[in-house]
Amino acid sequence: MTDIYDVIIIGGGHAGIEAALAVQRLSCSALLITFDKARIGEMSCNPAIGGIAKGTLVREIDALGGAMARSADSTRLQFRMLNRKKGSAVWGPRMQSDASEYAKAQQRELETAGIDVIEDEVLELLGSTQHVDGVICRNTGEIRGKAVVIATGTFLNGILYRGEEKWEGGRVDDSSSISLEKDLRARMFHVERFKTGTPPRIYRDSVDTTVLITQKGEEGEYFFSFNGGVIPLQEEPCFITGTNEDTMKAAKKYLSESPLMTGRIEGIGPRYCPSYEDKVVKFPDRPKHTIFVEPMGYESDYFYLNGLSTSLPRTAQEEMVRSLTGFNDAEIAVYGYAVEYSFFNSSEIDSTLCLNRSDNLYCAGQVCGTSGYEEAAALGLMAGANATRSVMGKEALTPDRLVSYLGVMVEDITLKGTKEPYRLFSSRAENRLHLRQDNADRRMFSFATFLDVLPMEQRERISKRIEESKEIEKSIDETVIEGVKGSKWCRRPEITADRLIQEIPDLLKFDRKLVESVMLDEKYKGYIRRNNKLVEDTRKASGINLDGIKDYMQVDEICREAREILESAKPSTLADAEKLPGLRPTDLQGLLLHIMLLEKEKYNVPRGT
Amino acid sequence: MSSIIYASATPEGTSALAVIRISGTGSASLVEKLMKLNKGRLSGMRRKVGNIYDGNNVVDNIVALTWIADKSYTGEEMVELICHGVPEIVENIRRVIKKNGAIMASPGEFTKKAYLAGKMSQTEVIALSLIFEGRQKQAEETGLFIKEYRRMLEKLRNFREELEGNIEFAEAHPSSGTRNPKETVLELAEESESLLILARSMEGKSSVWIMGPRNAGKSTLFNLLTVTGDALVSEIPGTTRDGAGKEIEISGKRLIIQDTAGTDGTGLDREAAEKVIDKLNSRDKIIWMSVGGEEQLPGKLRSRVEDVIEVASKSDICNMINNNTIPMSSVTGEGISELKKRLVNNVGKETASAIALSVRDAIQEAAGCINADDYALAGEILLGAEQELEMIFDEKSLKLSVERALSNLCVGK
Repeated sequence: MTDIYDVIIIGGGHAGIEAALAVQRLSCSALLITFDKARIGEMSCNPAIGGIAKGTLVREIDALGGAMARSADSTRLQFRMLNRKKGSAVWGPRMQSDASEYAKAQQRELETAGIDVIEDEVLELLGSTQHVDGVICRNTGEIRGKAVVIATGTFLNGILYRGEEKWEGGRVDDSSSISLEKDLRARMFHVERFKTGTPPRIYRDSVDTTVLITQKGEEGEYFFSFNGGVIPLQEEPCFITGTNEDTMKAAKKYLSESPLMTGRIEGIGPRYCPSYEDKVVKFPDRPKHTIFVEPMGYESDYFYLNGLSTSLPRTAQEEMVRSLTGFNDAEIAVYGYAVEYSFFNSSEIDSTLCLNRSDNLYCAGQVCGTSGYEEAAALGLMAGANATRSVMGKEALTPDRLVSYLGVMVEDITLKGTKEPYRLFSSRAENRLHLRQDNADRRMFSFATFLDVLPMEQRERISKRIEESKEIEKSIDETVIEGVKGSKWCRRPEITADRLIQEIPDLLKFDRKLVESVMLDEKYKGYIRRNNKLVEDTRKASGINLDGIKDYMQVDEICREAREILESAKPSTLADAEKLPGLRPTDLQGLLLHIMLLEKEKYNVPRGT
Repeated sequence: MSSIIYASATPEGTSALAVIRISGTGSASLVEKLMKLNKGRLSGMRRKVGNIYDGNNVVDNIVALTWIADKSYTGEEMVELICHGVPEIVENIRRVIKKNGAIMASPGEFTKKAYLAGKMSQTEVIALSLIFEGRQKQAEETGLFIKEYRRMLEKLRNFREELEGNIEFAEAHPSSGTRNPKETVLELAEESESLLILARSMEGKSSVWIMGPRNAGKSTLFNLLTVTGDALVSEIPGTTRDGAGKEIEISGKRLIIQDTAGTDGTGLDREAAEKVIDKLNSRDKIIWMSVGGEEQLPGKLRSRVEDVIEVASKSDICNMINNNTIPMSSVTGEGISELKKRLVNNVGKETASAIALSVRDAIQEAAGCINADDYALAGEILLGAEQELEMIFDEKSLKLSVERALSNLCVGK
C-alpha cells in the first residue's frame, strides 16, 4: 500500500480493469478496490466478447493499449465474424469465451502491471465533491487518492429480483454498494435506476445436445488484438434451440409474479436485450424465439441460455427451460434474475467522463448508463487515462465520434443521455463506413498518442503500419487498372484484396490484412468525406453564437412554444439550445436559418435554402 | 410593434356579406373594444352578434367569430367579422380596426402564420397558391405528388430501418418474419420510377427559345441540343414560322427547344421579336446566342422569362469575354454539357423531377450494393436519398419557394 495513490478505482469489472491498466500505462499508481478479488473480470452475463459494433470497439480498446482484446483472444472457444455478407463496415467479430479463463487472464494483466488490489467496500468518498481526496472503506478506513474512478457496474445499490424473491447484491452471490450510493445521493448527485437481467445457467450433462443444431466457429485466423496471438486449441461448439408455445404458456402462467410486471422493479431495462417475459408481453403472438446455448467454458459444467433472460420465479424458470427442445430433463444450476442498480444521469457527466461538479471524480461503465462488457471496458480505459491526466496536470481528452465508436458512445451518453441501458450499434455511427474493425489501430492512433496510453513498442508498430498504409494507398492511386485509376477501380463492388494484389503484385510485400484495409478506405473514401463534411457543418453550426438574438419571441422561423422555451433559457450557442428539452429538430433548423438569414454573407447561404 | 394583422378575406366589390379576418394575440379584445363588449366576452371560441362602433357611431351590424390560438387557421388567436358587403362599410370597418392598432396584412400573411404555426406544410402552401394562380390542374397534381412523395419517403424510411435491423440483429438475435432486402429494394426501385414519371408529368413543359443575331449558330445549337438530349421525346411541327420546336428531356426535365429567326445584327428584328414575345411564358428560358458573346439581349425580353442564358458561339475562333457567358463551339463540342446543366439546374434542384430522379438513381445504386452483399453502403446511400427528399420537402428548405408561393395568395387568406 502506498500513502497516497494517483488514482483509486472503485470496482473490478471490465471498466475498472481497463481503468487501472490505463493509469499504470501512464506511469502513475493505481489502487483497485473490489468486494472479491477472485471475481475480478468475471463475465456476469454471457460468455462472449464482441459482436456488431462491439467487436470493433474491442479492437479500439486494443488500439489504445487495453487488455480486453488480448484476454479474449487467448481464452476463446470459437470465433465468428458476424455480418460477413453485409458489408465490411458492419463486420462484427465475436468470440465465445471461456468465462473463468477470461477472468483469470484479466487478473493476470493486473498482476503483471503491478497494480495494487484490495478487497474492501467503499463506503464514502473522502473530501469535498469539488475535489475528492480519496475514499473511506469499511475495513481499511481512509485511503487517499488524487483522483477517483467510479466503476461500480450493477453494484451501486444493486438489488436482485427473482419472482417474489428480492435481495441485496450487485450480482448473484455478491454484495451491494449501498452506503456509497447514499453518499452520492447526499452529495446531491442525480442518480437514477436501470435494471438488467440474466438467464439461467444449466447443467450441461442434463441437456441432450444431440437433438440441437450445432454451431461451430469459423475456420481461419482472427485476433481482436492487432498484435496477433496464438489461437487456443480448445474449441467448443454452441447449440441452437428455441422457445415455443409451451415456453410462452409457462411464462404467462407466472407473469403476475414477475417483479417487472408487479412494478417492484422501477428501473428501465435494456430494450435490445429484453427478458423473455418482456418479449411475451410485447409479442404475445410470437412464441418462437431463437435461444443460443453457449458453453460457459472449455469442458465447463454449465450452459448459458442466450435469449432467455428472466426474473420469473424458480418454478417458472424450470418449466420454461424444460419446454425447450433438448432440455426436457434439464437441471438449472443458477436461476436467472434481474438486477436493479443506480447510475449517473447524463447531465452529471462531462465529455471526458469526469463528473461535472468535480475536478477529479470520474466514472465508467454501467454507472454511466451503458450496458455490455465492451462498452464498459472502453469507457474504463478512457476514464482511467483522463483521471490520470488530470492528476498529472494535463488536459483530459474526448474522442471524436467521427473517428471511433468510443467517441460515438461518449457523445451519446454524455450529451444526449440515455433512457435505457445504452448499447452500441453500428447504426449509431454517422461515419460507419470509416469506423471499421480493420482500421481501428490506424484511426485510433492520433487519440492514443494524445492520451499517451500506448507502450512504446505498440506505438512504433502502429506508426509503421500507418507508413505502410500510405505506401499502399500511393501505389493503388498510381496504378491504372482496367483503364481507370486504381483508387477508382477499388470502388467496384466485386473487388477483393486478392484481386487487387493480382493487379499490383508489388503489394505482396505488405500484410494482406493491411492491404485489404487500405483498399476499403479507398472504396468508401467518397462517402466518408461527404459524411465528415456533413458532421463538420453541423458542428460549425452548433458552435454558432446566439447572443445576437435579443428577443426570441420575434424569431418567426420557429414555433411559439419553442420561442418561449428559448426566451426563458437564453442559450448562448446553438449547441446549448440543442440540449433544451421540448425543442424539436425543426425548431433548431429554424433557428439556424434565422441566424443564417441574419448574416447571409457570413454563412454563404446557397440558393434553394 | 403590434402583432395583430387584419385583411378582407372576400373580394372587393358589392356583395351580400364580406369577411374581415383579424389575427394575433389580442385580436379578441380589440374586437371587444370595437363592439363595446365587456372584457373577456369574446375570449375562447365565441360567436357574437353586435355592432361595430366608431366612437359612438355604429358602423355596421356584424357577427364576430373568435378562435383561440391553435384552433384557428393561423394558429394564433383569431377573429372573423362577417359584415355587410358594401365597399364603404367594409372600408370603414377596416379603418377602425387600423385605428385601434392592427396592421394591414400583406398577401399570404395569414397563410404564412398558419405555416409558421405548423398548421400547414410547405407543400400545402404551394398547392394553395397554385389554386389562387388559377393553376388548378397543377395544384391537383402537386397534391398527388406530395402524397406519392410522402409514401415514397415513408417506404424509404421503413426499408432503411429494416436494413439497419437486419445489420444489427439478423445474425445476433435472429427472429422470423424479416423480408429479404434483395427483393424489397427492387420493389422500391419500381416505386421510385413511378414517382419520377409522376413528377415529370406534374411539372409540364417549358420552352427554351434560342435567339440571337443571324449567323450566330442558332440552328447548329438547336440541332446539337435536340440530337444530344437524353431522349428525343417528340417533334412538334410548325410551331414557329422559321422552324419546328422539338421536345427533349434532360435529366428528367422536359423542355421544348424552339429555334427562332435571327435578328438583323444591330438589334432585334421587330417582326421576329413580336412573334416570339407573344409566345413567351414566365417559366420559359431564352438562350441568347451571339458570336463571341458580343451582342446584348434587348432588355424587354429579359423580364418576360424565368432565365436568360447567354452563349458565345464560335468559341474556337473568338477570344472569350464575359464571365456569365457560356463559350460554345459546335466544332469542338465545347460548352454543350455546361449549357445542358444550366438548362436543368437553373430551375433548381427544387424541381420535383430532379429530386425524383436522384432518389431513383440512389435506390438503384443501393440495390447494386445489396446485391454485392454490402448492406452498410446501401444504408448510407439510402440515407442520402432520404435526406434529399426531406431537404426539399421538409420545413426548412422550401422556405424560399414558400415565400414565392405566399405572394400569389390574395390578402386575407
